Amino acid sequence: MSKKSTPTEKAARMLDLVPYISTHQGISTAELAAEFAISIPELLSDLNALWMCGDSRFDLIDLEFESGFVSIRNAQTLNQVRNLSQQEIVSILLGLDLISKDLPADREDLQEDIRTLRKKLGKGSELLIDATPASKGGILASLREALAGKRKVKITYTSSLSETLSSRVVSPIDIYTNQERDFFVGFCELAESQRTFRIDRISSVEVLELKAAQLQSSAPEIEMAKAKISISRDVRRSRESLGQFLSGDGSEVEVSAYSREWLARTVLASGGAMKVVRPTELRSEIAHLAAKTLGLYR
Amino acid sequence: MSYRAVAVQQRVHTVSRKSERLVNLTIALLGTKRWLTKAQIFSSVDGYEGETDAKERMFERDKDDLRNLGIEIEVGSFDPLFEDEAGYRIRPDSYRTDIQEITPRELSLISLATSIWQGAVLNSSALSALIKLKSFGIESDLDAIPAIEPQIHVSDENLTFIIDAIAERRTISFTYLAQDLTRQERALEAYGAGTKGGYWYVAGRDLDKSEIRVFRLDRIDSKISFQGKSSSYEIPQGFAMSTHLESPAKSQMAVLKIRRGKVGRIAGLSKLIAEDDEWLTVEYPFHLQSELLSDLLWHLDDVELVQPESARAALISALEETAGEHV
Repeated sequence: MSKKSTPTEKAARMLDLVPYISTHQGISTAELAAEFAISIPELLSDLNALWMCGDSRFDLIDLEFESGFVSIRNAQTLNQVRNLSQQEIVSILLGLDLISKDLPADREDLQEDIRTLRKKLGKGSELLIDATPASKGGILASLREALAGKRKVKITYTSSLSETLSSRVVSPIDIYTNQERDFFVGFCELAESQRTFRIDRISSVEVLELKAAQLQSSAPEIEMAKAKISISRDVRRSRESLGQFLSGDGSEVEVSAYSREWLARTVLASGGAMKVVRPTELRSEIAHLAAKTLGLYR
Repeated sequence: MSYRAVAVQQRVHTVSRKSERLVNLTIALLGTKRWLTKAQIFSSVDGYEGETDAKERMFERDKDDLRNLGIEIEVGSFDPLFEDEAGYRIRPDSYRTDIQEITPRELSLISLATSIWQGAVLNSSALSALIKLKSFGIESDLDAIPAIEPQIHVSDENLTFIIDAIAERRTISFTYLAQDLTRQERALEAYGAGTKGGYWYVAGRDLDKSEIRVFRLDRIDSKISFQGKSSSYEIPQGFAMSTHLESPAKSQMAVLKIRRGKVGRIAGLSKLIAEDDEWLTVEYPFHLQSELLSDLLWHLDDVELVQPESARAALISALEETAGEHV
């Protein structure tokens, strides 16, 4: 809807409109436009164009849509569902695979349906495609339900710093996606402040009967931990471990992270590949942590 | 009758745009039982105007455009024994999907499967697929599906090229970031694609290494380009992407001392062999030493690596290096 379609895309849509309208005679223009994800004027332009097409000058497609409801007759030639393209098939196969790995254990019936459907659509190519969700789909669905219903949730969360599991009651504020990952923002009763949780680190969600605390999403005043880091080896792995917080090319990078502790641990986990050039305080903190850990081995 | 004639006049007058010409060409070639010559096409399909050369160029472009929509125009001859003028047609059974029927439950599953792509790279394909399948005119049975909502966030256009390459068996090439961040030119016969842990992968035969390799999409540092023609290789029988996305076997065992109550994830994956008030001694399976060290170093002095001896020595020297660099 955002960008204007090319003549070829428009032609494809016109071809697909025919069988769709044939099985949905009398559908409103608004509903039809929504199904095809186009605006009503764009749909009317498609229908007008289609109305002028036909086998020959005396056998044109009979299309009625001035009433705001669309019906079609005399379109035998085009009245057939077109072959699915490979990208269309793959989009379904990948989606089905994600669903199947997300289904509750007691839905063997649906697993069976998905297997049949993947074979029916894939015709052998279904094995070439494999998808495992980054987070459990039920979790996102429950979080959305809680957000929409303004209810508190109880989540089990593995913190990224200590990798320990905690159970928290949270009033939902927002769900967003950044760098292709999902995040959940809420007021955490355990921390008594607003927290952001990576959804792939949430292992369970229970939507509670309790009404969520009335909260506005406010960007908390976070002082970012900034550092200049020099990478001596394993450059790709080091850069990837700094992820979205990194800027600069190659092995000399600037980092701006939410947590200084996270940054310090990331440098230590690099096993000597990363060196903090500045600030001095972070350098001495890292030296201290390394010495303290070495204490275990002496 | 007279009303009809007027309507026809108005309609014919405005037929000139490309999308209408493509649709009319499809109708003509799909509806014909016999081969149509170019001359017949130009005279019966509205929208072909100008000199013969111009019409021919138009027709060639239209054929390509229809092919890109998955509509194959068949070229044949009226009389195979003679060098006759070529004829064209679209076979209905290649135009039409060979899916015979879809059940309401299947349609609901497909609706859910396609909704996953909202905002991601295959969204428009997912949408048009759903429309086609809804055109069978059956109602979906959404109550049959539990409330799950998997999401796909990939916005990498290269995924669409990879899917095309796999479908067409066309060799691809791209620049890949190696471990040391050097940029390597790779040529690949792509066999399969998939996602795991939030990353996307393509697997196939690496033409330089002559073996099956797996590449992560976010490490591909160029637009994927096609090399050569379609059908230039075969995908081996029984190739399954899932085998290539499996986590490597953790065949090595480490002995760790974990501070009680800390390092939950590692403790959860370990087997307890001894404990005292402060420390748990556990066995922890791992794949690569470098991953083990990185995992353990993250937890600072909450975990001690006891065995293997060589890994312990490597961990100590890593800590000494970090300490030395930050003096």
